[in-house]
Amino acid sequence: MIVADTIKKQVIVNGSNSGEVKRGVYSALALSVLVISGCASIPREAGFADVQQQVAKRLDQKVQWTREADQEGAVTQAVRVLLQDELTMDEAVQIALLNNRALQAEYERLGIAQTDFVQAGLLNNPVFSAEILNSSIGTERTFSVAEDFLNIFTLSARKRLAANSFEQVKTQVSAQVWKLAGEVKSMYYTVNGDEQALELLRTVVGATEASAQLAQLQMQAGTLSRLNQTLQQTFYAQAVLDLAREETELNSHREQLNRLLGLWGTDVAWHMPPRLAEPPATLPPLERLEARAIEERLDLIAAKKEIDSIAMTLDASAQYRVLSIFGIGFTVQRTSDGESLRGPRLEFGLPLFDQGQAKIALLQSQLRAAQQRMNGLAVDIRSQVRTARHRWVATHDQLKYRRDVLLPLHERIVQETQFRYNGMLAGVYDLLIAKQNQITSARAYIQTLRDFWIAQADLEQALGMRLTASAAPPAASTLPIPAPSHATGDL
Amino acid sequence: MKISRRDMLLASAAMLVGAPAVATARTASAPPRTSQPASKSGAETLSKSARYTPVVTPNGSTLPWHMDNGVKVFQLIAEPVKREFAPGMVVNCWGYNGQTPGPTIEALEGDRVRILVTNNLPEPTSVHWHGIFLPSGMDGVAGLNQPHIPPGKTFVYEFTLRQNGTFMYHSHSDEMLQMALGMMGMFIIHPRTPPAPHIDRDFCIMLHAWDVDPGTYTPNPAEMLDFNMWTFNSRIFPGIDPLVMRLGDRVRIRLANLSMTSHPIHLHGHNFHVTGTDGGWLPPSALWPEVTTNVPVGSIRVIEFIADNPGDWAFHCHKSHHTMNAMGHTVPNMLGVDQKDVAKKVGALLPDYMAMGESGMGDMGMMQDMGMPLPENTLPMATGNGPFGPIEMGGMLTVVKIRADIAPGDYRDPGWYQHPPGTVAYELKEK
Repeated sequence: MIVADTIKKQVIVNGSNSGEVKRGVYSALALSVLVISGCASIPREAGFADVQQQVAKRLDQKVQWTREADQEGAVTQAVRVLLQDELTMDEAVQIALLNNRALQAEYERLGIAQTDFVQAGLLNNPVFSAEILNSSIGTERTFSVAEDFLNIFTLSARKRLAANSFEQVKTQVSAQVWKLAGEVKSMYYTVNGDEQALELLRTVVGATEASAQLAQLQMQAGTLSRLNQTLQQTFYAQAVLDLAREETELNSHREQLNRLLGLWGTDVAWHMPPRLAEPPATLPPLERLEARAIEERLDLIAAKKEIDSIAMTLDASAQYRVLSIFGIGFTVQRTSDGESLRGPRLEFGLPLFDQGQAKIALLQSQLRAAQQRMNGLAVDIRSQVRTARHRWVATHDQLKYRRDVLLPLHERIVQETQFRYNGMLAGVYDLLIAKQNQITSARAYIQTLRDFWIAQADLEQALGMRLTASAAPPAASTLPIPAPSHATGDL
Repeated sequence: MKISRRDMLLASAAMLVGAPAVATARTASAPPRTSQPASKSGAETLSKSARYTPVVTPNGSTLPWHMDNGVKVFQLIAEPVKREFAPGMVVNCWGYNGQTPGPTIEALEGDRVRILVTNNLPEPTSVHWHGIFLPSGMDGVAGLNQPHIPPGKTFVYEFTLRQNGTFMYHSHSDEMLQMALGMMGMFIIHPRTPPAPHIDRDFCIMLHAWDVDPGTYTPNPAEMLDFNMWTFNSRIFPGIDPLVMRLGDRVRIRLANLSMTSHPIHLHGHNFHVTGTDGGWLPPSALWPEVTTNVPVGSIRVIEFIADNPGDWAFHCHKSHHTMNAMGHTVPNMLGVDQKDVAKKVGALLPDYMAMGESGMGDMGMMQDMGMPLPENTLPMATGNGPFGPIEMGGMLTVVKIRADIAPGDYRDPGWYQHPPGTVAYELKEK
């Protein structure tokens, strides 16, 4: 982070009680300091604009750093507006970017990095020392002012290093924003898919309930044994349990999303559109995925900056390795017999034992380690991209197959079973089971659809960048999933 | 009124199905025929050379022959055939000369017959002449009496008929399968001098059973017990021709059974006597009266009665499932089950659903009238309408139609019986 700790501050000062001496020293030093260092005040924005820019390249949503108490009210208001009506995925991401507290805490890293950046541009304060020694003869007064010039020599290097570190922190913060957006997307699709699949499961439960009721009526009329009636009842009971379990799962997923969105109290009662969006008919062709990921991944960019920091530190340390202490000052002395002495003062360390060799070796090891870590990260990133892309394509193919092959087969089975029922060749239980199987197949379709969208979000995360605009999900679906409340007669 | 037998015979000259025309060309070289429409039991011209009352095979035909040096030559072509069991159901069967059952062979006692059997099946076959006394090598049990007839080849069976009566012919090579697919027919041998009393109408009915899974087109030959289609001459009611007769006719019906179970055949409105089997004729003193005769497997029962009760009379197998078409035997029993509330729930899931079975199976007719679709190539369980409503039967059922105003030799369907007033069961009206 900040300048290597080998730069020590020197505190050797001699000075007289003469005001003019102090003024002169001070002014000289102040001049030199002002010339060398930059502005010493801390800007409020702390580089957040750069974060916003990096985020804007990847997301449509806006990031905002809420630092004032009065801004909190505006954020709450904005979130409430977004929560109105159905919660879309874009709205969910926006709410998270505004409202997620961990992200807001992350932004404070910028402030901290900013202070480090400013600190690196500050020179050490000169040191004033006074000595007043009384003897039997008289009083000896010695006044000194000294400045550590090593930190002046290394100032620009320190500032470059701090600027690089600041950029690294900005990149890391942007990466956190991107990561949060990805988590929100995945969890959004999970909840949306869960809800839609749950509705279909309710229909299945309704079918088993009808079977159980028919069995009960049959038993009362004397046409079904208690054993067979009990079997039907068991299927229904099991289905009820399955439903309860899925409802619990759904609740847990909703809460995970609430955590990501920072919602609590009455705000957790949001509802999503009833259907997941349909996939695009064909996937956009994506080229150079791995190369783009290497370019765009924020964690890789941050890792590069870390390497740069270590390299800069290594260079600076190598440059000044033999110079451990270097102080220049001015001393004024009034002896006890009234003589006035003045003159410059110089101090530096003699590199007899420590020539910085251990320090250099340490930095070299750290540099190599950081480089290997970055290489490893690049390998992982490439693999992540390939994995995500494969899953994206595979789930899309499965969706097509389910929709074009499997769902129509189940529809045909229900139809043929209905024909058999019409001819008293099959019974109503067979018909209900055929319907349940069809609905279960539709549930599997929904779950695959959910997996497809999650795979697309994961691919974006692996890329570190959004996919092309044409890969954005379209509006609500026209999928032929059996909606049990429609009497379309389309058998 | 006494009519001479000769007059009767001549009168019956202008009749009947399957006239054995005297053909000049040898039919053995005729190209194999595929599916032919089943001929009706209407009249066809009878050659003057006939000397007997020819039998009528409802929904069937009689095999033509030609004379070759004193030998009556017949041609049977064993081939796959498509048989319409009733409108709406066509089955891939194996039969003879385009039909199952094959054409009825009709000859005289004493005839020397030569039967050419051409095999157009995909596997070897043979023909056994059930109940007929003949040389062992002509008996037709492939492997035992003769080599199997290879596909594409023609074998010749030749023997002299030394008896008269009612017999059958059927495959005896891969017998179980070939019979299950319909390879059978009737073989009638008339006496040279028909004994009194004279038979006015003589019908042949081959009983059979098939397992045709709903939605399929080919019988399952491996089925042993669970058959679902029951036929008279490979037809199903209402696709079975009625047996039309004049009031007062002496009627003979020859029932042959090559299915896997017996069939108690029942006639309404009359009683009859069993006068013969495939073993021979019963002496008159041995006849006993019946309204139902059980025809065992591999047997023939010949019944005779006087059609003295005018009207439309059901004639059917009395095993009630045999007058039903394909049924689901594992369908849940909804008798007495009030399904109203649950039916709504089910209807929400399945828009075409209608609750059935609460008050019996009569709903089926209503379902069909409403056009509820069935699996393809599947007949409703019971169908066919009579003049007073749905008859609610299928399978082995036909109607004996006795009318006073039918001309001799006229086998055409006279329509429904016009009941004399006061002879129809009526509803008692409240005052």
